[in-house]
Amino acid sequence: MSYSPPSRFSVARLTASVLAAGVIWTSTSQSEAGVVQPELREAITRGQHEDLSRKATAYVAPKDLADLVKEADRIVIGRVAHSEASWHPTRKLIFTHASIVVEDTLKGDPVATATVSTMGGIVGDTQLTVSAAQHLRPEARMALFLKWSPEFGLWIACGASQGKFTVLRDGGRDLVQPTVRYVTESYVPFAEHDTRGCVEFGAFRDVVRSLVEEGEGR
Amino acid sequence: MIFSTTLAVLGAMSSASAISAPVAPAAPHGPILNAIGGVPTPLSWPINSTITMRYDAALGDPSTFPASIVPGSTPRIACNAGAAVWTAIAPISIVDGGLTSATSVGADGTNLVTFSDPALAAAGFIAAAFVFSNVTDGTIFESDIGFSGAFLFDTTGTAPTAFDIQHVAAHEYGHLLGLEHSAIVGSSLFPFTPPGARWARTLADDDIAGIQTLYPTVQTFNAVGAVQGQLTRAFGGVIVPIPGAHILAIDSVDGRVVAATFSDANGNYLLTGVPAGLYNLQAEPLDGPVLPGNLIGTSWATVAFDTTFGEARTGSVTVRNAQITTRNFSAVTPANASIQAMFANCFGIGVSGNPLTTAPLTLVKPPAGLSYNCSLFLNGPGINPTGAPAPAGPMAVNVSPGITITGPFQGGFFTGAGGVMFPYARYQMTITPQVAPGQHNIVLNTYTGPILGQGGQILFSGAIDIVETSPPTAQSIVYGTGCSGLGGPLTMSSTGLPTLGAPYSATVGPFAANEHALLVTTEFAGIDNLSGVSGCTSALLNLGSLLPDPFGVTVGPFGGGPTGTVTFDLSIPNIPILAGFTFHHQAFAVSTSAAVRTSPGLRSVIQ
Repeated sequence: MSYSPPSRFSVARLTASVLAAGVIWTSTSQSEAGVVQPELREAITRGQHEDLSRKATAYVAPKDLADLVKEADRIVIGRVAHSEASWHPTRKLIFTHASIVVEDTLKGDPVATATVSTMGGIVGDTQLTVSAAQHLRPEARMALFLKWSPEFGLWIACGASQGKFTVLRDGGRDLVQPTVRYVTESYVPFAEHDTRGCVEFGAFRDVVRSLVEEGEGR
Repeated sequence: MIFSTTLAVLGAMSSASAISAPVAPAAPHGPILNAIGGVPTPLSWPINSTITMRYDAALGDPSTFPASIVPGSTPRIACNAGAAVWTAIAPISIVDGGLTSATSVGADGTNLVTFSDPALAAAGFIAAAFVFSNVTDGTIFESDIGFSGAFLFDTTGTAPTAFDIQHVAAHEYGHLLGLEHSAIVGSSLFPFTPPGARWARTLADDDIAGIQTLYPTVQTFNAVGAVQGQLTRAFGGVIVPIPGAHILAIDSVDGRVVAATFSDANGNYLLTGVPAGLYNLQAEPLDGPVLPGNLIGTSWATVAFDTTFGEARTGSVTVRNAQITTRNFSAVTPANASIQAMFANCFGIGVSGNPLTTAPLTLVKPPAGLSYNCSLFLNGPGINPTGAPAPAGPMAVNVSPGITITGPFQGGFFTGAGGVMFPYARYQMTITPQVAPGQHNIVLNTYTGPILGQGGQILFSGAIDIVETSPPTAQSIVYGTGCSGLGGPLTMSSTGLPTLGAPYSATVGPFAANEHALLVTTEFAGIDNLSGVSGCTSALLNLGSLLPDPFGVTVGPFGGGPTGTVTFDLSIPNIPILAGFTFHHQAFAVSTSAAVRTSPGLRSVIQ
């Protein structure tokens, strides 16, 4: 049999609330061509927006703060002391290895120094530039989410550039800026971000510690 | 101080007038700028090079494709098409050199495209370009493109979470040629993309300006000019430069974003590849969606990006072909707002951008006599931060003929991951046939006092992407797997094609006597579980859970009628603006006891 809606592309809209035991469907009529009533949209959105927001991604795979905490073998806060590039011993790639003087270890065994390696750098007359890599500026203060890469035999940042957070000194406050805003906006209340996507250093550290403790079952 | 060979070429080829440069010329627009001896130096291949790309051998036969490639895809063709958008307009060639046994990116004398490098899956990116250059002059001598094995890629458009290979390849080939990320939403080199997006397949004006700056010809050089200057602000009574600002050239006549660049450590900028005409220059902080950390060139690592100023806009600036115009300007207010995300609905039939994504709102230029009427939902710091139902500002500003944005009219909250509430303000947007194809800005006045305009402006650069109507090919493809629930599988098939004015329908079944038939129509494909619903926890496809995008629901009869199946009439009205749009459909069987089954999806591309 054939069934035609009363009005093509102008049919009823539906509010769907997925409940534990089933689905409740509620039809509403369209009253204003081209405009979805915001309150209806809001009702539809609630509880279902998470999936959509995670589809938003970069040419790096999207991670939120919990993803990064879970993936990291080591999370440190520190300052870049020096860096040096070299050819990888088995891959024909240049890596730059930055030595970090650690002031605080948020995950993993406490360490005084840590090394993070990033794709790209200069050796002799050759420079490798990688479109998804991150730069570690000398003297920069950072929060780094690190993991051991058995593929490369190196410590690398989780989620490409997303595992690097720059700590800024601004107006007497320490602020943390991600390389992808979604990373922190998912977990630190939106109102606490400034126009640059920065959040208070203390709030950021507390959220990370809390996520680490959750992961350790404490 | 000459920063690049490109600028030297530009100067050498300019004969129309003497070039006056009261400020040091900044780094040119477009290329990756690596710091070599403290000087920003662009990466580029020698002009007129032929770059031979080889493909990893697994791409030679569909039976050996890596698992990351959706069956039915044609990755080599898509990659070659991604390269061709650049080489079609620049004096450089990229040719398909066939297959190679190499699978790993690296300096081995071969320019490689690989989907088979296992190490890349752990690196955390979807795809990347690996560019090897001579450190003394920035000349590229080898470059590879690696697609991660941790994600899905396709060319069929049928896998909801897959990335379009041509779209990604066009982006990475831009890097391979030496181009930097762009902060213009809708540019092929914009550093963010959701799955399924295809906008990078077509170059934006900013992309064209970039590639033709890096690889100029006499013809393209003579068809454009440049603007340079310094951006400053008053700080404690002293005028200081603004480093790391995003600076745009906006066509004064039609509002299109024609080119963009970033100011250097001294606040100097150089916009190249700008066709002769009248432009307004606008500067904004690089405070999102693109952030300083998203730039590739190492020269940016030492620039102290000023992201605390309010936007600045000039009056009309005249650009003449083959000449450099100088224009200094200042920002006068601190930044107090920033647009970070938007979504919109148009037509009332579910054409939209995603909330909390950074994809442009892509719309076909309306034909004569028709217009689009949309609601825009914007969020970001300083935009209705309390989620007030009736926000007082910031007020929308019209910047492009043919695009009228008014409001805000209403506000509220969205719920994000982790239960975080995202406030929004709703604006009204109308797009008429007067609009020019290209990227257009959304602009808000961030005034806080009683006088409109007393304060800065914020913009979402290139957020609206107007495209010309292109002849689409009608497609009707069943995809994915629905949820069988407790009643067995629900099948979906189609009859006819989604062509304007022609019969087209979908048939679904079988339905039980106590089941109600529903068909959901939405812009998005999806793969989410219908969690919490008895018997449906393993569903692979559930378009309904992808709301809040505007959508339609067609309600069928109980039990599917005498045949136990329902045919939904999906015939497309003969309205030209619908051509080219894609819709996804999924049927639901909902029983009187609230049990649910779902069908596979149906993808309809309207011709």
